[in-house]
Amino acid sequence: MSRKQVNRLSRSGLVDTSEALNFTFNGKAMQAHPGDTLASALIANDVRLVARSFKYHRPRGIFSAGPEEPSALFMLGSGGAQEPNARGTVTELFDGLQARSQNHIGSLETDLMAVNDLFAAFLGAGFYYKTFMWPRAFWERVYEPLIRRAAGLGALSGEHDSGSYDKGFLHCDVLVVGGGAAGLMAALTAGRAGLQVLLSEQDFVLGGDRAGHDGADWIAKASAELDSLPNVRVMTRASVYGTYDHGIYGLLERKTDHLAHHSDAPRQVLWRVYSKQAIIATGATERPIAFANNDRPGVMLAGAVSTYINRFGVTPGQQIVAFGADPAQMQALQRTAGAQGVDVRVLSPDEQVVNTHGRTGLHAVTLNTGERVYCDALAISGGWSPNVHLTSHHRSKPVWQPDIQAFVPAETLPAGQIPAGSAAGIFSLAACLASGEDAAVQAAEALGVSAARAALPAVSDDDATTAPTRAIWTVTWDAAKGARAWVDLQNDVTTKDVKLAFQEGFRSVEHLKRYTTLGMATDQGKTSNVLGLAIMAEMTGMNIAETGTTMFRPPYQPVAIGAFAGRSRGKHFKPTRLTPSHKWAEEQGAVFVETGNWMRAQWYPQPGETHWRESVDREVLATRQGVGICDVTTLGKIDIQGRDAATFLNRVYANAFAKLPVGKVRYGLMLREDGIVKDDGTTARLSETQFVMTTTTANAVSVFRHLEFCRQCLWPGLDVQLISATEQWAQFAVAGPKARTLLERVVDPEHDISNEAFPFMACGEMSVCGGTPARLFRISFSGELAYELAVPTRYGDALVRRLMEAGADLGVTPYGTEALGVMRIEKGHAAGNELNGQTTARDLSLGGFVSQKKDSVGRILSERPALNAEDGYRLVGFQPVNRGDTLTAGAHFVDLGKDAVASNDLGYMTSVAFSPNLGHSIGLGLLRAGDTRKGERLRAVDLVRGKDIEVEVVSAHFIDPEGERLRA
Amino acid sequence: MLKPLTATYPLDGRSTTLGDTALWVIRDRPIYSLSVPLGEDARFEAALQESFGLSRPAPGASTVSANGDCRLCGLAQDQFFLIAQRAEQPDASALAALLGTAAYVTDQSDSWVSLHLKGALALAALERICPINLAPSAFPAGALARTSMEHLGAIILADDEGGFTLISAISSAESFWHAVEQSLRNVM
Repeated sequence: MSRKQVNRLSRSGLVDTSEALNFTFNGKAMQAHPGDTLASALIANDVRLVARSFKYHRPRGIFSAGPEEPSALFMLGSGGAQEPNARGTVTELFDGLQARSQNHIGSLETDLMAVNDLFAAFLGAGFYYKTFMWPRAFWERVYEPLIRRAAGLGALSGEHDSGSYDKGFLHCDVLVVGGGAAGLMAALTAGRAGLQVLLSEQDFVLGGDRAGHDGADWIAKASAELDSLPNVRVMTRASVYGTYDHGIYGLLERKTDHLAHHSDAPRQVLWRVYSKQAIIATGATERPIAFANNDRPGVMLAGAVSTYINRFGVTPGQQIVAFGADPAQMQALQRTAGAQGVDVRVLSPDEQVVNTHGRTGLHAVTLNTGERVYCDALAISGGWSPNVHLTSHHRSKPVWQPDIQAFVPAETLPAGQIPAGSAAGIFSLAACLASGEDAAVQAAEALGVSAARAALPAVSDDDATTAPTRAIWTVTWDAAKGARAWVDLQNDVTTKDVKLAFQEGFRSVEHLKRYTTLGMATDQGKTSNVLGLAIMAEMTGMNIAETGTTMFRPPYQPVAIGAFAGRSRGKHFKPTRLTPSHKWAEEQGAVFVETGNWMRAQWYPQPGETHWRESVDREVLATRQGVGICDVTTLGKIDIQGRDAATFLNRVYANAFAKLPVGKVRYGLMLREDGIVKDDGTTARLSETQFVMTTTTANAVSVFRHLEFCRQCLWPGLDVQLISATEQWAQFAVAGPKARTLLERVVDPEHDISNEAFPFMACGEMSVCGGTPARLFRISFSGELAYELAVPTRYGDALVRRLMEAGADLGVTPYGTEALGVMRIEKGHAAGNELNGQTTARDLSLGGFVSQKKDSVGRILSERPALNAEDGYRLVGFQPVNRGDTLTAGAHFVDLGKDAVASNDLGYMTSVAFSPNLGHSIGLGLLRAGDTRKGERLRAVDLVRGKDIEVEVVSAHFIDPEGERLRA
Repeated sequence: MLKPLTATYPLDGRSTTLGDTALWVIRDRPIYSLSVPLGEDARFEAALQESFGLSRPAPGASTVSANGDCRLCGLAQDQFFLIAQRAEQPDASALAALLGTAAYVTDQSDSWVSLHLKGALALAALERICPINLAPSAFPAGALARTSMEHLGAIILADDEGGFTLISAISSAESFWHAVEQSLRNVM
């Protein structure tokens, strides 16, 4: 044992004093032992001042021994591993730990910002709202930075979090939250009954606040038995932070935070727990008492003092005054401390602490009797509040139970939830053990399993918290001297602030919270909320039950954002889909673009090309003059089979499909139920009962889902089966006047693909390259003689290489999505920009595709008058009057001479491109009554980019309007 | 005759072993989707029995053919995946001919990548990405589920020897491999 650990007791509790651990606090080297927390280690080393308060920069010490800690917050680590606001009371000590205090300028001992405390009279609740009103321009630039600098917690390093995180899924019959007395008995009882049990405990030891106490052998026995049960999983360092729907709980497990040397394994894992029943055995939190200067280092919750002495073998002081609501608890503390040579004076029921003394640490208290008692620690207990948070996350309000002066879980709880132990307002140890067993029996019964009761551990309640029959909220002190009493230590909210809120009319608890910030700090008011309510109740004359509580929301404890993100970082944020030609395209130096999750080649730069337009223009011209190849695998492909497949397609497409012959492809236009265009594509009939539909890349999934809905819900009587075949086929567009010549070199000779045998819109199953099965579709997006050739995905890479090889003398050119886009705009084909979820078939100048001779999804609602107005949008083409101008998508059309205001808006440009064939910019756009305005001139005004270009309305078909090329 | 094309597979031959847990890619395993023509359940079941000695599994379960050559996985009420246990299986057209009009057959062999995960850490690794309860009591040998892992659609199948087959789309095979391998590394 280090000699410097002056507060280390001879009885070491659960701390292993045979091994020393080195750590630093504000750079000062200290020693502690395995089993210590940072808080217990600092107490052992007689460090009393550990922090500065949020607003007034008051000296603060360690106040609790658990997750409720409001004051002892630290910065741990540095750089990418820096973690602010870490609670010392739950930070497990390891060799090499580096902790720093936060929120001060200068040293912790001489914080320059402590001057704030001198101006406390001006810094009460609502100070910011009243003071920083003007000038308005100062709000964000001056006031906010100043306030944030002056009043803050720890700081982020600004570097990427170097820790790794993961997430996961757990399933159990019974989730037991809390490994204290009730939780252990619940887990044992449910486990013995054979149920799948998950016991989660936020601490690194089991036993709750009984851990390390004399006579607590039952904890070790229970733990050993739980370990022996294969159906029970015990997770320590695991905090359940939220109750979600249907028995789902959020659980944060700290995996490596307590280790000196981290592996690459995730430091924390965020689990989603699926439970059938959940026993909430989360214990209770002790409340402070409001008296003057109750925030001084050395003032500590009485239960925490007991924990430090019994479990950690350290004492926060050698002369302790105990001031609490429960005499039995105070006397038990006196006994256990006394056994370690620590003097505890328990105040009599007539005595109260009214003030404390000492600059950065307590050295005396003043009693209501006027007596000044010299001491170095004050143990206080205003009563206990059950930790009802998890029972209230579904908005059930806890119920005030007057006999124990505490809120207990509501009667109506989230499904499957059973509170137990002190979380349910049961405080004696024996009763908590029994309560845990009861809860497990109840949970088992709900699951149709009989759980046997067994003899509970024999325990003595001598030194345990017993049911308090009274609470102490505030004491009367001489307020004339300006002394303040703290309610919320972390947010520096005093009783004066609560009174001010009352005086200014902020009397509901939700207003009280927001006006004073009571309970809004990182500790979420675990020690302060109920005390604040009690003070408000006292002023309003209502009782605490009538005053009520604020809303409880997850997370119960702070969760690092990194834990929520898990492993979804950087390029692993989402999956990546690669086309069959991806590797080959990479070899060609292709520039890729993300389209959804797909990586698609955007263009293929050639040596000497310095601008993307050079590459794209070249690809377009090469395709239109010779032959180009484009990987179109990303388009959705749906295999549709069944005796009624044709009928099915006839109903989901607006245009006719019932009589599509085998061996033919047809363009299909699909509407949503509301008559708006959903998607378009082509569908090929491979046999009487088999079709293959293509969809746009973006809508591949949504169209499949829509078809499944139609099949299963609208027309279950049709014999139709669907399965996605998007991934099955590598598909390449082969386009250009030399496309057939190229294909004839790879298609096996027994298949005739001449214009006569395989005309425009033909399709067929055939083979390529000596027997590889293939499908060929004579369809064209570019407007050229074009085909789409599909082979099983495994042959996609080989096929693109073969096409390039076989077409070398034809000048075959790979083209990417940019050239694809240019060619479809030149041809006037609508794509994603036009199928934008707002356009009808009529808008797209495809009104004729909506057959009136049959019913189909969306037909009826497509006839709504508003969608069929004479001056409705029509898709038309545009070209700049000054051919040198560059059109921009998003520009709005306005008549010449009219102002560019919304009332004069005639429509907007949807797609633009530079046409290397025409030598100027072209565009497609939606123009009111556009079909009647060809030849007219308009303004295309782009206010965002500051452009105003005179354009001429033309046909959307810039290239080969008669379609001669694609039939060649 | 034209020169044949050479097949390539993402992740081809990829495998890793961490501790005594192994993850590897199953190469070239034919997968066919079979679905039942409306009202033809009896004919479908008879054809399965006659052609493969297979009985019809419920959704979420699988059956193995009499000779062990193929497994039939129940994906939905009327949809099944016939997964060959050997590479040299009849192709889709031969299969369709075999089953005649008793089933609609779609070749899915190139649609999926199949991984196999086996060993002491398999369950712990899968806990990190698979939302399904894989405890043997809830997910016994032969059980399967359609689920998602790391935003990827996936099918998970518990085999008879304590391992798991994980099937996901071929285009995102690299992402899927990374997801599973990372899970294994994270539980080391």
